[in-house]
Amino acid sequence: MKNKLLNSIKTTAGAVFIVTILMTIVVQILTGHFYTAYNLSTFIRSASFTIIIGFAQTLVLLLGGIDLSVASIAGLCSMIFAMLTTVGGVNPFLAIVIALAAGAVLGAINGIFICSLNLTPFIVTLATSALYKGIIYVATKGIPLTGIPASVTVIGQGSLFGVVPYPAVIMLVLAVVLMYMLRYTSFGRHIYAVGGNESAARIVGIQSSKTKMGVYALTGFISSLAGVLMVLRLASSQVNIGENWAMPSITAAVLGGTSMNGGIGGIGGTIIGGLLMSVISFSISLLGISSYWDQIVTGIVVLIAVSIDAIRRRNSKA
Amino acid sequence: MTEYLLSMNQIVKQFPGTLALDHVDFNLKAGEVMALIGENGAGKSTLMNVLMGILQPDSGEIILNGEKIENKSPYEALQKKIGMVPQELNLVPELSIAENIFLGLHQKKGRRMDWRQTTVKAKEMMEKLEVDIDPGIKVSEVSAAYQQLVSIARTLVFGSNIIILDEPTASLTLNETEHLFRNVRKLKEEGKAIIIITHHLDEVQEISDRVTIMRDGKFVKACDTKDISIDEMIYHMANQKVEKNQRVERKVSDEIFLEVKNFSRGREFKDINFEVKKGEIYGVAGLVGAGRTELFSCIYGLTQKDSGQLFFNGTEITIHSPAEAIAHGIGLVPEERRKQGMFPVLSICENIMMLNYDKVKSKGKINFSKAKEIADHHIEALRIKTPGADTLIKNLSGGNQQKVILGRWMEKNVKLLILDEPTRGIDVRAKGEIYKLVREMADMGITIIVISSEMDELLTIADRIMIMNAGSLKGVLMPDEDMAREDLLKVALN
Repeated sequence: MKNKLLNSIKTTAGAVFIVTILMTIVVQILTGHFYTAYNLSTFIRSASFTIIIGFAQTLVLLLGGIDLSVASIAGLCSMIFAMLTTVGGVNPFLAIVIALAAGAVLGAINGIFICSLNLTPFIVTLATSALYKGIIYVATKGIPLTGIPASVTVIGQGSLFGVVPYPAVIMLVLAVVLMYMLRYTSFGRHIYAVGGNESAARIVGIQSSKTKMGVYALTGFISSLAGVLMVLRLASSQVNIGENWAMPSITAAVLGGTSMNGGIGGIGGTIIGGLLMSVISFSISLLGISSYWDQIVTGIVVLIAVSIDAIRRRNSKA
Repeated sequence: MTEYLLSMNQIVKQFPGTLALDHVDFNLKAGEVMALIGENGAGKSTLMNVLMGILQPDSGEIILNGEKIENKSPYEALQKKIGMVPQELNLVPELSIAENIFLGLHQKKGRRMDWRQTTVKAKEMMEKLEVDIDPGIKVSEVSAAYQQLVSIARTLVFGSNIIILDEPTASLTLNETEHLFRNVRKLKEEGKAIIIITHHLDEVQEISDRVTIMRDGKFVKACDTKDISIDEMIYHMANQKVEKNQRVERKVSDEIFLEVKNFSRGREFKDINFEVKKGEIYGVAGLVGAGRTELFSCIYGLTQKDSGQLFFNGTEITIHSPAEAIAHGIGLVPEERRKQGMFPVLSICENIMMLNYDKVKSKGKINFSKAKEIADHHIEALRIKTPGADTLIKNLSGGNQQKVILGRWMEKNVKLLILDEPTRGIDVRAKGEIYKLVREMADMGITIIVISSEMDELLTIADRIMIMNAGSLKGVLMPDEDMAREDLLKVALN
């Protein structure tokens, strides 16, 4: 047990976790405000969004791909949901289901191009990202949609037992489901196989295009979930929902130890990576420093984390 | 002035957990071919990496031409006229032959690249190595043998006096090997010293003047090649007597298991007809480019045939994908283990179970303790040397990796197993173990196809050998103890 603990600290995610905790303690000492019930709950609520979109990205990274369109899918689906409920008068719960399904379809479109024409994921998702974002602007003309019924906004704004914000609950449930899927189902193991060595996967009879399609659709679905949750939190749909989520989703995954080359990493690390990023931006606002510093600090932290990882890997190589 | 061009004295290199080089001595004379031999992990490559400046020794000294030198990088080594042709060639595939040869030593007119001069000199270089080729062609478009010669040419333009060849013949055909050896002899006559790292002891006898043998990171012996027999070499490499891989005559049933009729695909192979019996070990020989791998990739469903029929156990089947081949009970152990055979960053257990998870699933959930039991069973049955089933496969030796891949198909209960170059890059002792396992599998009734460029391997293991050349089947032989590789070659070229 003790050994296991020690080994987990040695991983990237373990080291990042320790840094995260230390940072919160420093901010607590400096401001006295981090560990208050209100701040913690605000913090967890906003962190959940980064983490959920990070999950979406982690799955494609494990596959050896990348998805730059997660942010646009989140935005487009949040708009679909808002339009259905406010303009279309559809039952809001049904609208959520439709928006999530739409996310899966948008993700699958990425998958179709990547698998059938064997295109590079980077290019395909760069293009669809622009396409999906463009649709939002054309459809809404940049005007926010308000009037989301309170029956559903509670999911974005309320808390379980008044303590744990619902987005965090959803994030944790999703994490458990995805971890189980990656660890204990053939689909999950096939993701690691395809990401680790696609030609070998083919030879053992894994239909890699099926696995890829599934993953891109699932990534679209999770992105959509993050977008819809954001509408529920804001009680209105803004054109810029999720606009800046693509790079942070990659950052969260990589800080958590997921390899950009595929085959290595997992969901647990992404939670930690997402937490660290949120701690950085939250601490900066608590300390009263200009939020422009957020990006500088995040950039430095990522460089340090991946450098430490690379150095450790080099030293352990026989 | 000492008699040696190069002396490496008491070299020590410590890696975490292992002493990779333990006070190793290595001496080289000008104008000689030195064979450096030892089992995998003996420290041959580490020693050469120290010489090339890729690794820094913890202690010990390197004396070149009577002067003590220190190489901090391969570039420094090159400037001291030491060049290496690594096993995995370090060429830029999308650049031309000429540009690859002069990488790092650009031909210039003032500040401008002189492409004309580059091309002319590259052409001269290749002609010297008996290759008539347009140096403007991309490296990715020429054969492995030519790529290797490009790599050798690169060491020559730096004026290297010492040239290290790491496993140079691993992916060469017999003809290409002869071509390479002609070049090696020529370079030797020019006074260059050549170090060849190899597993092929017959090649050691053919080409080298002296041999240095290493074992477990230690220097064991150096002597003139003519003073040592292959058996003695093996004895020193393994520190025990290793039986030479003997041919075993097997009884094979008359039941025809696989029948291939009129198989053709594009320019790869044409009108191939053969049949394999149940439990037979069926060898497939031929020169590289004969269409062997292509034929069996097609049978396995990796590519689609143009025409032809496939009969499996008497009934005709069609296969469009590896998944369908596996469903029919066919398995493939591919030629390139690292690129196609295994999942390097996954454990032994997962490498075996990846296509067998259905067996250990209950209600869709994979039961990993059951999976591990199965993996442990194969580790024991196949005598895989590893701390446990959780070890990543990339940390095993080549022979053990190959056994894991065999275990994968054993667990799948395949009826037909295609082995493409099953012992490439695997040392003598591990080879023998693989042969034994293959025979055991055939005795269990599994039909086995062995594609190999090593004629001796086929003569040792196969019950029958089919010979291909340039996409056609040239003949089928029943090997016996007196048959030599020349007999196979005769059929291939006839």
